[in-house]
Amino acid sequence: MAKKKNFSLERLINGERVSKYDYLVTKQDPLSFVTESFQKVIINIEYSNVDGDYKVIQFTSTLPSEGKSTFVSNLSYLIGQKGKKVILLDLDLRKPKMNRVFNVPNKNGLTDYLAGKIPLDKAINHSDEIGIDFITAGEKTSAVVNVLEAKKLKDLIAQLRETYDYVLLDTPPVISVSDALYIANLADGIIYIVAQNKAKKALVKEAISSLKDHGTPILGMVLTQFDMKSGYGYNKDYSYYNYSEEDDE
Amino acid sequence: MNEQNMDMQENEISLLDLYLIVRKHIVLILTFTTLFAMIAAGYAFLIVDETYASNADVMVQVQTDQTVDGSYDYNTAQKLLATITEFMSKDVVLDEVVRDLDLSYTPKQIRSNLTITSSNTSFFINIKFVDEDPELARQIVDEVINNAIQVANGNDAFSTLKNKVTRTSFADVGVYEAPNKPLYVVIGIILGGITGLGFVFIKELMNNSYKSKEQLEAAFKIQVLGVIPEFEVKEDF
Repeated sequence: MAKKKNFSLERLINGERVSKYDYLVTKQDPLSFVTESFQKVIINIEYSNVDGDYKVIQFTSTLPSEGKSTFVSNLSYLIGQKGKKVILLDLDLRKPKMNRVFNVPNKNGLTDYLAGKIPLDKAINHSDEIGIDFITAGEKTSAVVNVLEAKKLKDLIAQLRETYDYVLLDTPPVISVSDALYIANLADGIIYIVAQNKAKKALVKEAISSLKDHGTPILGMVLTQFDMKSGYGYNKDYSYYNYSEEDDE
Repeated sequence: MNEQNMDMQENEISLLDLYLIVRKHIVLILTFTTLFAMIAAGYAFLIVDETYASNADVMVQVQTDQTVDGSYDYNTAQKLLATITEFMSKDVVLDEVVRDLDLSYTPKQIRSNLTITSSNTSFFINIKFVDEDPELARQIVDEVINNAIQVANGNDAFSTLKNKVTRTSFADVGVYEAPNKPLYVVIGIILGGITGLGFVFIKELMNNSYKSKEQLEAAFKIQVLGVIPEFEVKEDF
């Protein structure tokens, strides 16, 4: 089975990620080492959430393109596969991604529901393919902070909390805009995504410290976009899993 | 204090790190190398004018001592050799060369491309001229020798040089001298490699970001739930 290298001149020069959001590696390649890594994250989340205190989980990172949407979509798929009821909310109102993950137009989403244009049941979509519910960001608005502070959003999340096992919030990065800090007030816990070799240490420290100031616990961190050949441990221990992938090429 | 130690540990760079940095950026390094090699090759093959060298010899006749058979004054001989070597590139000779060959060069320009060498162990003097035109190089070498002999023999001001210079060979059409094209390319490759490596190391040293699970845990005392490898989109999707 041939692999398509995510290669482009732009990426070579800028180190930019070329993302294909509707590709769920955990679904397309369930036996891969990547999927195995996601499964481990889920086990760790379940361990730290034995009492089920953390239902509403926010996913954020320091900078854009650290792999939040890819991570949260794959994670929600796997949690869904375990028979849990999961809903995924796109709270990145400035650069929404969930519409791309689920391959749907970005309309009839969160902002539309909060503005009273549509009822909740119309905002909640179900993806048969991925097996979970989701709400897209909806029509773009300039009053993002007002939306995030709205009581109706708080009520919505309280309502979803009753219905679902997990309410997962995909949110903007911490450094560029303050949205993630507002959202932290709505979440039970935060999972912080750090891409390898991406954000400067000082920036990550600044972001984590501002999140901590808000009081919402950080459940854990996830290191994404990890280069298996970068030599920082990992690959040596798991070479057994690796070889089958190499054979595919 | 503990944190300081940790920072110091993080800042240390091992041979393995260096190797990994090189391997990670190998495309960039090779790009630099290729680029520099191409620039050097372009310069050597397209820009620099090719030059040709022509040369011939004269012999200095040294007066032997009449009293002791076959012997001569070494000191005087050396001085004579040096004088003639110098004399051959003087304006008095080169002016004539310019005139005879009707050259657009000045004597100074001829001098800069003219190499006259003598050795301590023989009476031969080698005259070499480098020019873009191989035939002109030959003519100039021959003309320098002709005029040097003429001036030495005919001009009373140089009476000590009279009959001291004998031509021993005629110049051939110039042979290829420069540029050394493969050398330019090799230097380009080396310079490109060094520049690429330097660039990559500086880039990597400036990249003060998190690279491993351990670094994250040490910095924040927050559990790292997992490490997700970079993956590629499969084509048949």
